[in-house]
Amino acid sequence: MFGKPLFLLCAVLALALFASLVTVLALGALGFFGQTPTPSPVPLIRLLGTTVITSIFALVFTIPIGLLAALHLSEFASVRMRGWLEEPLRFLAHVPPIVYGYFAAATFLPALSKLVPILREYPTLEAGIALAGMVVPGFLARSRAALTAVPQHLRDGAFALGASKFATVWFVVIPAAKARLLAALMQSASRAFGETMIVLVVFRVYASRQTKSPETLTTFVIPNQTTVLSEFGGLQAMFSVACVLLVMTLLLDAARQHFERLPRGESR
Amino acid sequence: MSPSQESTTDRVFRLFCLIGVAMPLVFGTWFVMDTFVHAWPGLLNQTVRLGLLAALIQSLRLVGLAVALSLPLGIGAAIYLEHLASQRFFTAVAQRAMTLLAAVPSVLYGLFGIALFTVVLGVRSMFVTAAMTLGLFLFPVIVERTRSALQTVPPLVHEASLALGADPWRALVYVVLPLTLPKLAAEVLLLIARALGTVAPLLVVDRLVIQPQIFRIEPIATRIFDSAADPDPQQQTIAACAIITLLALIVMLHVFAHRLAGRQSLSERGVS
Repeated sequence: MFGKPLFLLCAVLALALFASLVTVLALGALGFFGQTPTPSPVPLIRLLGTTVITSIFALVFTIPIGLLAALHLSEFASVRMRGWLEEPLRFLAHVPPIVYGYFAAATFLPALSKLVPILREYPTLEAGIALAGMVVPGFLARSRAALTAVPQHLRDGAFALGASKFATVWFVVIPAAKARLLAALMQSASRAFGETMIVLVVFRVYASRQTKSPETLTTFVIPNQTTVLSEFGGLQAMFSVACVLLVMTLLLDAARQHFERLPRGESR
Repeated sequence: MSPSQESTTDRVFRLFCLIGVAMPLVFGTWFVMDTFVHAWPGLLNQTVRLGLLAALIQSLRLVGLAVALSLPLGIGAAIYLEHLASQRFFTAVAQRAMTLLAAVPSVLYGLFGIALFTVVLGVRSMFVTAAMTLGLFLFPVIVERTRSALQTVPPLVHEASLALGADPWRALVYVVLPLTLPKLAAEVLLLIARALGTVAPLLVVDRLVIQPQIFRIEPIATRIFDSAADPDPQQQTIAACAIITLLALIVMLHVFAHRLAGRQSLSERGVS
């Protein structure tokens, strides 16, 4: 049993990692790693607002597409069709975010703004659409798992009572899967909230058109000349923003855990 | 229900669901085709290919070091939490910390890594800092995946080996771990695929301190970012080429991982 303390050390490291993450970010926010003599206040409300708005835009596009696709897979598709659809969808879920960012900025958003010219004026909406591209596959997979976990006999019961397919799905299947669907939504919200690269690419491209672009909490943390050497107090500002970001993610994760603990339809 | 009984509502509903599933697929096909078309002139160009090769080599070195550092620790932590831990409380707290760490946005690992390694611990080489930061980012994922791999071994097998007189240590090393090996190997490949596509933490480490060109950390994923944010068409071609390379690598890793994980595990053979 010589190995046990060694393994314990690994597990303790896991805890230490979390503790030191919180400590280091908090110390940084207090100006431990360098501060400027007269820092001007960080535009925290504006950053937070932009982040929340882009995430909401992303979710507005994600929820209908992801839910309908998940319903197709769980309620309509034949077994063979499902087998065909699954592989490409899983692949999409594993494509790195930066790849979505490139595609959105280089091809998708320009093409879309030809159809809807007003889009060019709203970089947050553009970023939201790009984010939705990344968030949909993950949300789809999770909500599909939630829907397939609803036992067949609930559906059969509804059909037996004469409910149509739509009524069954709307009044029986979705309510039964509600807790897990909400948990999936929170997970997606947290991913959209913490995503950096997509938003950054979209905003940089917007900035090359318009000279000035908005910033979110995450893009503020990426160093560039204006943040490191700027009026906001450089490093300290970045660490403070990082702390806000950390707190927001932890809150979203707490919400996800709460929904996961709700009673589930399938156990009834 | 047979289709003849379908009402209009049902038909519209089914159509909408079909559109919902078609959208991501059309989007995906479009983006692979489009990137390929953009990348084609660059892939024929010798200079572009050499530049990508350099970025790719740096990517592999970085990911290799990161995985080599955090894989043993992550597997060790997972084994402890899954099989050796005796205090419920400790396991619960560690579990909570792991899920929280997995939810932390990747940019924050960049700031955390550079503050911890370069400032507090005084690591000189930026390359090592970047690799260790990436390792930190991967650590919670490793623990989570290893634990789920360990859980696929039916407890019956573990208990049987204990009943035959193996001590817990031997049961773990000679019975449980060999059974998880294919799944674990598959997870490691998926992890490498994920690490290859990670940009944000490395970007923070690279850009926070202004450095001479040779010390720059620019793996292939960062290369994509730099080129994608640049409106110059030449750079756009380079970005497309880098994406094709990265995607090819990721697809390959996924195919291997599925081959490995596809081998029948014990529980699927009816021993459960």
